[in-house]
Amino acid sequence: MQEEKEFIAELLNPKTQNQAFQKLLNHYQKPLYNHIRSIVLNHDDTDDVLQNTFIKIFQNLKNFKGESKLFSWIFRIATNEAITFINNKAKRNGTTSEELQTKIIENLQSDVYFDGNEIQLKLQKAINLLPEKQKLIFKMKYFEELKYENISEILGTSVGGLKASYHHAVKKIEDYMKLN
Amino acid sequence: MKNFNLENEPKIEIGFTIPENYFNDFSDRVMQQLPSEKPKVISLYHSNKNWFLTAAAILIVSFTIPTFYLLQNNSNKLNTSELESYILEHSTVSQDDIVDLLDQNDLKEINIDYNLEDISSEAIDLENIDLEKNLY
Repeated sequence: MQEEKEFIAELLNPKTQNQAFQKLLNHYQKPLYNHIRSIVLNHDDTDDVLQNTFIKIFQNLKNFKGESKLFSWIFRIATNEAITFINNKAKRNGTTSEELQTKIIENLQSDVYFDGNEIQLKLQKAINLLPEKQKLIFKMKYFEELKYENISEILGTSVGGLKASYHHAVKKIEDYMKLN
Repeated sequence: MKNFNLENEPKIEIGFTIPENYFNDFSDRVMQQLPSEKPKVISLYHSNKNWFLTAAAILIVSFTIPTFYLLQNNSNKLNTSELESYILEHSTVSQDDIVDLLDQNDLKEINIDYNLEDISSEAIDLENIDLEKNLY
């Protein structure tokens, strides 16, 4: 993407805003889809959250202070939207976020938009047993292949802390995979 | 128990799929939902603030000036009829005192019509026997 300051100026200028936002959409829609999908797990919910995320980004552009990178700021909004969504959905269903995710994973095989094999399904089950923070860090590092520095900016956790969390997560997943 | 090392295993993909052409119209759908810049509601007062203030100032001045003049006139100009009655009531100067103050010129300027008609003079003489005293 072009020089970030210049691009942000275009996003804030009413004359160039729509064109710049279209550019932002095209650039971020796929990585953000993958990020949100890894959290909310099903496609329809991801579609809702992704749209809300972009609308929220648009509405809050004027509040973007440039203290963090645009990339981190956008991913932070998406992460918050996805976690809030899953918490609210659990509340509506009278259950907890963890129980809701377990239920979705148990039914993954019947999801038309999941074509994973046995090992992929097993990995999802293993991830689901991790504490929420480790779960998020593992998905961002392993599936999305984000750099520790970027994850650190998005989640506000130190790189050292992230490395430790990821290491613990990997160990727990490996143990689960060995046993099952 | 099989040994399993995540780093040594081939990358396990997430396994989720996306509906075909999902991203073809996604950005259009979002663009349509973006909140358009709401037209700012400018109140009649705020849009014409200067005019409102000017009109208010003119009104205040137009009401104030006559009131000011009225107050000033009342305080400076004496009501002549009130003054007259005050003098009559409080004056210690008698008519004789005023007559004494008149000089010859003042007397000349007082034009009294003495051409009384004869009949009426006679009538008056008859009715007023003591008139002669007054005449001489």
